Amino acid sequence: MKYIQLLILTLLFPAVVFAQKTTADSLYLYNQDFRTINYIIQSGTGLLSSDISKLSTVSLNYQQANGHFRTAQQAEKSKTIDLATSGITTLGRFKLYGTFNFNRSWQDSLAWTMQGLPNIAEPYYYAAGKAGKYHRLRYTMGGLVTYQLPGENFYIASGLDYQYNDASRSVDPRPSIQTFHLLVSPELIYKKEKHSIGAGLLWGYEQEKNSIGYKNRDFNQGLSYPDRVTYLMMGYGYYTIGGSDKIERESDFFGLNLNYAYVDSITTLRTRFAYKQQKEDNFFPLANSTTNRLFSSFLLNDYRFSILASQQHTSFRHQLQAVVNYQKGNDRNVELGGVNYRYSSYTAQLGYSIQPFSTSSVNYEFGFNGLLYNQQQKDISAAHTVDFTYFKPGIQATLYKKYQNADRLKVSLSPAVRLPVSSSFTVPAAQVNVFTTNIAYPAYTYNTSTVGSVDGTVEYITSHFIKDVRSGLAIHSSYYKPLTTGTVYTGSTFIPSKSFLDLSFSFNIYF
Amino acid sequence: MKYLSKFMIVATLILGLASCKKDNNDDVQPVSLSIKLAFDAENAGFGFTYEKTTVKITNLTTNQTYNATAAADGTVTFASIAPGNYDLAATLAITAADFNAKTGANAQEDVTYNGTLTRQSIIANGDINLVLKTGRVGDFVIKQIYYAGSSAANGAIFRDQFFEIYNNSNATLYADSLYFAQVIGNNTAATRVDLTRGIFQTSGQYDWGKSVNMTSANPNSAFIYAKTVFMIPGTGKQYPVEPGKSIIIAATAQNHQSPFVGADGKAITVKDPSLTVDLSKADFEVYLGDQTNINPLASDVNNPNVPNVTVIDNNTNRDLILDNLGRDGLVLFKTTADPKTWPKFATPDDTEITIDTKQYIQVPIQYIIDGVSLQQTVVASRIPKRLPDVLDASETYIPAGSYSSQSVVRKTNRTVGGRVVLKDTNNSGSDFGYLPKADPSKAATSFIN
Repeated sequence: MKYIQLLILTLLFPAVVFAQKTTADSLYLYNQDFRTINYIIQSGTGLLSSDISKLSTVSLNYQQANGHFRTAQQAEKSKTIDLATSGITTLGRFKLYGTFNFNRSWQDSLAWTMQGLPNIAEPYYYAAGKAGKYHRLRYTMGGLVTYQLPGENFYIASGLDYQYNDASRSVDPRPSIQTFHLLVSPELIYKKEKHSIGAGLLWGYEQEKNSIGYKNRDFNQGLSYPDRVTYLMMGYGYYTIGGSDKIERESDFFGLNLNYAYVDSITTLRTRFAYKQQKEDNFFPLANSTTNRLFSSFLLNDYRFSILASQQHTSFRHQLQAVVNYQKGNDRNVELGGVNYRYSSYTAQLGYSIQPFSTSSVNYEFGFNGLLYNQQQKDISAAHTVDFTYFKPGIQATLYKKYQNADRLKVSLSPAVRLPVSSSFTVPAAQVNVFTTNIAYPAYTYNTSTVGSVDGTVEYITSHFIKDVRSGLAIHSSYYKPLTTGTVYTGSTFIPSKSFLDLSFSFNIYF
Repeated sequence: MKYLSKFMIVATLILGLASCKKDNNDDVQPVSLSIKLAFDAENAGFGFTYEKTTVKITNLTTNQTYNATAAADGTVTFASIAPGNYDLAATLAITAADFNAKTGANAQEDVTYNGTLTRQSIIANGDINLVLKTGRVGDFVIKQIYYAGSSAANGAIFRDQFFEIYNNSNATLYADSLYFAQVIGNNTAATRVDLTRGIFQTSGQYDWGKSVNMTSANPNSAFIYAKTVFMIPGTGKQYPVEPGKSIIIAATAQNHQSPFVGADGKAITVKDPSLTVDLSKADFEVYLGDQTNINPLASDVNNPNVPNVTVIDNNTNRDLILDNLGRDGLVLFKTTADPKTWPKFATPDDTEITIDTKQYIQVPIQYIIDGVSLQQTVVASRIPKRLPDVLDASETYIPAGSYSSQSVVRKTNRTVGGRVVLKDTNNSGSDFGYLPKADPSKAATSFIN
């Protein structure tokens, strides 16, 4: 029992350490504040620029998602249990942010990808046509520490991000994937009056072990059962056929970031530019040897620029959020002697919301947002090229009600529509293969569909569940339905259709 | 609004930067491969022309093949192929008349020259030399090998394995004292072999020259190393095999489609008899139940109606167990010597010889009548080739893989007076096809074109 208590205390560490006596529920309740919290924890500059000195939450979530409107590489059904704690506190010259997340998920009818952590850009992964149940376990820990140097204006900070992920499934072929990564991001910050400016670096390392096993010998190393065949994908259409097998990968991360914040009593402006480079090497472990053989590398450059600006007036507060993200990557296939796979994507996102202040118990928030997304993938050997762009405009309306006993209610609704802007997919008929018909065609149908979506949230916060502690229940839902089906190719083995519903329930404690 | 305009400026800059076109000079490009053929030293002076030499190259990732025919000067060019690792195989058939005229020999059948290179990295335009050699064309040939076995869940797994030896000549031959052996080799997928260990050839196969106590010249090309050796018994002319006839060697000569009682007294059954075969009428069986150096398999039941082969060296194997995955090789040989007196060597990864070290009989290739190299079906698992080119230029395998009930079977070359002459060019990759279900009947159904 002592061990269980110790475990619970350890898991709740961020919340326990950072707990404050004043309630923090409103900061998590109001969308604009919630966005601000999520923004400031990205950098020491952001954390320092905020006047939030103490804040903590513990959250237990249950999520389930199911539906046939998905790609062939997504699960038909999934369930997730998630325990998350996070908090901010200030201790003398230190200001800290910490987070811990334990996530356990079960996925059903997932086929054509055996990735440990789903990554659309990644060209090297195992896949099989047999749909099966996956079990995933993920621990994430991280935080930020800032320290005020003598002289008042300078601060040093460092972020830390640790993750361990384990994925496996119980039908042949049986993948077993363990991923571990650690990122460190030191930062130097100059703060004077209302301005904060910081520059930081990022280093990191990731290691992943992938192995494929079979229990039924009939399925291993043969082609009699096509859905049990394991493919090693090596691009966007280029692959080889394997059986029981192993690969290992190691990634080095390097990055830099610039952060700026302006905060006064009326206006807050926060911006961040971050560059991150991931250099991934993929290896075949050699038999009876401590040596591995490099068979491919993958380089991914990620550029992200974001702004979060808020302005407070006597009768309303409005907020603007914008993000531009650009990713570009390519592989280097040792066997082919060059670059076989190229990937790029960009996201441009703009959101605006306004929250009028009211003396009544009911408040509202209205907003709109737009997302422009483009993705390109090219496999030279397999002669597959895909390029699509969609635009997703949406509106958002939220009602906040405060009861006399200080209980709070939030009801939010965000309808949106995803509109294909341009798209093309080319593959010569002679090079249509297993990847094309089972993965690329369905993905293209999915990404070229016009989709209507509605996100909804109902959240209730009260002190009645736990005496003198603010806690709340929340229900979040996201519903997607194709309004028109995208391009469907003859030979496609999977057609995204019907709808997809993502529903989560959470119990949150605020300190 | 001023924030929005600043954001748009930065966004435009980033997207503009992103859209900058760059020359993708590193992109994979099709390459040109030029192959220069040459005969080996023994055959270089006969004046054979290269013109009808066919060259096949096989991509070891995609399994895609390219074919071309040589020019008169022995050059073959593949102008635009995907870069990658390739197996190269060249074959030249010379008519018996032409061969005899130029060599003064008295060949009865066409003579085939083969040249192979395995796992060649071709990532840039380049030239490769390929040497054509000829091997012995056997009178006894291996016609069929059923190594896959049948379903582990519903069939007989490996109990029902067999192979078939065929008289491909026009004279009656005697199977008496005919030896057959399984060839030991490195079973690791070629892409997973650590060549830096110093015990492998560049192909990934064992470098037998590195074996403890090895003194033989040309240990990799002049010998094969047998993990098992068996001999068909007989008095000399006890087991005649007529032209166009064959004999079946069964691992266990039982009707595997019906239940039978194992050596432990328990019934051995299959759920789906249609997956397996009746070997109760096999000509010979490998029975190891009386061997003292092993714990015999319960399924290795002696059929008194089927003669047992003589065990020369079972090397602790518990039956004739062909590798279900295809990591095996089978040879036939005849010799007046006693193979038990031939030297034995451990694989080169064994650096110390103890009483428990497995050692393998070194079989000189001049005694070998026929050899067939098997291979994994799945491309990523392909192993290094284990037979020298003069015995078998390239491997064969079944398309469906292990436990599929399929067998590899030699193709029919022609029919002479009702006698089927099987294709034998010492190149199993082209000599063999497959049967969807192994067929030990010796009937017409067991032949393919």
